Formats: sequence, C-alpha cells, structure tokens
Amino acid sequence: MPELSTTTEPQNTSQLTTANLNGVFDLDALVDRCMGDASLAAKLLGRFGERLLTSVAEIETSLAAGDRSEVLKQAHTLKGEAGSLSAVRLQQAAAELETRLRNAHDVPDPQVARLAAALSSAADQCRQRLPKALDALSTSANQA
Amino acid sequence: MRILIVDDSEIALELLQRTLVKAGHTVDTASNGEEALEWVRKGVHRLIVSDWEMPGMNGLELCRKVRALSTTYVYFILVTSHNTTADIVTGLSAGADDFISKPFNPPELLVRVRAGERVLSLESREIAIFAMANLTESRDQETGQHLERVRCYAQLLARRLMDYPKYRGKIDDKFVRLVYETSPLHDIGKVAIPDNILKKPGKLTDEEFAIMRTHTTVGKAQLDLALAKYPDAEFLRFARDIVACHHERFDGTGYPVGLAGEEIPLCARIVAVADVYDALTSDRVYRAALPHEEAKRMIMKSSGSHFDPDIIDGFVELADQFEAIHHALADGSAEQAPLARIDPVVSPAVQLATA
Repeated sequence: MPELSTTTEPQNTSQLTTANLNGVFDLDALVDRCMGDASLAAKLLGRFGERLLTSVAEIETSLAAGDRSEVLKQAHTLKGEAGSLSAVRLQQAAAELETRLRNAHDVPDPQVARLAAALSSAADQCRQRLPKALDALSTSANQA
Repeated sequence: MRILIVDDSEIALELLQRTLVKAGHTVDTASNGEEALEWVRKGVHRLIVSDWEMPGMNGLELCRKVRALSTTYVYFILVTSHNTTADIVTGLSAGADDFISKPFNPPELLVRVRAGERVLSLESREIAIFAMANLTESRDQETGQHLERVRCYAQLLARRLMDYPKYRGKIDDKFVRLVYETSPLHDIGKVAIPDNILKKPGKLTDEEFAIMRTHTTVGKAQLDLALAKYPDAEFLRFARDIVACHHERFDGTGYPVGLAGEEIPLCARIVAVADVYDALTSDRVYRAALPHEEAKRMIMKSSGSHFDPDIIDGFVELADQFEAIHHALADGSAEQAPLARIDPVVSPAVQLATA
C-alpha cells in the first residue's frame, strides 16, 4: 500500500523529540497517531506498560511449552500494540520473532530462543524508558 | 457516517475510534468477529474498518460473512501488516474494498474512509435514480426488464465508442458510467401521459401521438428544474440530454425539436439505438418481438437516417453481445442480478437494485 505522508504539526513536539529515549519510543509518531492528543498517548502508553510484563511472560510460557503457534499469535499481537504505540524496537523484535515462526516450521530452537530473548530485552528497555516517556508526554500535554 | 471498527487490541480500537470521532464520525466497536457480526445483523453500519489478524474469526472471514449477510453494500477496509501483492489479492478476493497498513496513520485512515463514503454515495444515488425510473415504468405493463437491458446496451455502445479515435477525449470511464446510470431515466416524462394513451392497445391517433411525444419535453422540464438547483450535478445533465433527445433522429426528422447530427447530445444518440433495439426485440400488443437478426438488419438500414452511423458501426461489432443481453435479461426470466456476469465492473448496488 502506498504510504501517505503525515502532515506533522510542529507544536508540542520539540520536547518529545529531544527526550532521551534511545530510539525505544517514537513519541512524535505516537502523538500524531493520537491526533496530537499527548494525554491520550500517555494514557494508552501507561496501560500498555502495565501489561507488558505479563505479555512477555505469556510468550515465554508458550515457548517453554513448545507451543509455537501460540507464540506466533502472541508475538503478532504484541507487534501490533507496540506498533500502535510506536515502541519501535519492541515492534521490530516482535516482528522478527513472528516472521521467523511464520516462514519456517523447522527453525532450530536456539534461534527461536535467541529471538525471544531479544524480544524480552526490548521489552525491558521499554519498561525502563517508560517513566521518561510518560513524563515527556505529560509535559507536552500540560503545555498544549 | 456511522462506522464499525473491529480489532482485538483495545489500544488499537481506542486509537481508531479517536481518529474517526474527531473527524466527525459515529463509531461503534467490536473486539472480535462474532461481536462484529452482531452489529452487522442490525444493519446500521455502511462502513467497517477491521483488523485482518484476530483470534477466532479473522478479518477475511468476517468480510466474507458481511458480504453474505448484508442486504445493502457495506464498504470494508482491512487494517493489516500484510502488504504483499498476494495478501492484497487475498483480501480483495474476500471482498475487501481497501486496505490500511498497520500501524495506521490518521490522515491515511481518514482519506480511505472518505474514499469509501464517496463510493457509497455514488451507490445511493444510483439506487435512487433507478427507483425513480422504475416508478415511471411501473405504469407501463409492457416494459419488464426494459430499463435494465437498455442501460446495458447503452453501456456497451459507449464503451465501444471510447476506443474510436474520434471519441477520444469525449468518452471516458465517467461518461460510460453516467450513461449506464442515467439511461434508465429516458422515459421518465411518461409520468405525465394519461393512462388512456400510455396503455392504449391500438395505434395512437395523431392527437394522441402528439401528447405521447410530450414525454420528452415534460421530462426535460423537470430535469431542467433540478439542474437549475444543482448546476454541477453532471448526472442530471446527462439525464436531461437523454430524456430530451432520445427521440431525435440523426437526419433531423425526430422530435421534439428536430435536432440533427451532432446537435443531438452523444449520450442521447447512444440511448436511441439501445432503446429502439430493445423495442424491436420485445413483444408489443400489436406485434410479436422481432428476432435479433431482423432487428439488427432494420437498425443497420437506419444508419445515417435515424441513427448516428458511428454508433451503428459499434452496434454491428457488438451485435452478438446485444443478443446475449437480450436473452440473459429476457422478460419473465427468473434470472437474478445477471449483470455481474455480463459486466464485472457493475457495482453491487446495481445488482441490489435489480434483484
């Protein structure tokens, strides 16, 4: 599908761009997706953060049980939510795991385990940077 | 517009909802296919935005079920991270109208929704036009599938002429579509003709025929009024030209004005051939239907006198297809919505209107 360019409103985004998030979150893109509503962005991101630990634990459980189709589904869902919230690294890690499982049914376990580990670590980074991201969003919301 | 959004992710639902509500839409949400189908059975949404991959029923299955279930056309947009050509073909085959890539971008979502609204409004208009035309024809016991056949013939002719160098730039896809949409209105002025004339089994007297001929001027007057109010509505202009001029003849001996040659609007010259072919190949109280070959011969003989020779060239090339439509849409045939087979570009609304 052709990508349409987003017309980004420049206001209220400067502190989002400069917030040191090491590329874990793309807050500008998130606020755009929330139609410029930074407090909605903060609310959704907060909700996502609360569930993140559980989501990753569920993937690890399915993986330990050898239920690859379940891992696939869970990775897909996580990819979707991370994508919606512009948690770009986590989105990418989840996408890699999903693609791997979808394209090859005989991927050796160590490889899947490695991708799952990368996903867990991306999720950890998300959780570490989350307070900072929420701060930046609430500052932006207050200034709006 | 009232839109149904379907996604298993609460976050995605909230984001979609916000974007659409902010753009002035009314939104209902469903978090899985089953919930969505409950909404669909109520029939309150004409546009659905659904995630492709969901646990349980996925977006493709949902789309197929919506197609099977809905009595009116529902515009279906799939939100997906599947964007290879193969995925798009799969989605289209399931009946999806459009795609939005995931994670969605609000301006793109709104543009695609607007495109959907445009398609839906076209279809509503088409249904309204056809209903209006049918109402007129309902007084005339002989017509049956007449309107449906005439629009198909007219569409065929217009599309054929589009390939002639002479008509390049004059006929485009829009022209073909407008001819298809508005040709059923050609006799709408007959609402003003009294029953004793309209339904007279025998030959009309000169006086009665004079009254009969006013169906072109009465119809034109009505459409001129509508045009004065909506001067930009191209379909009204087409309808007006067809209604006013479908009984004009190429040599200037027709009515109501006696226009000749290219003074007669092209759309009306096209409909004239379609209308006469259908009249010849249909039973009348005073004569049986002529066989296709006989009708074809008579029409060819009138090339240059009654009809525009270019259009007759097209007619001759398309004669087999005329005959096929004549049989497929024969009066009293039990065929339902046969147009889809003859012309795959015909919109679902048209199938609906003929069902």
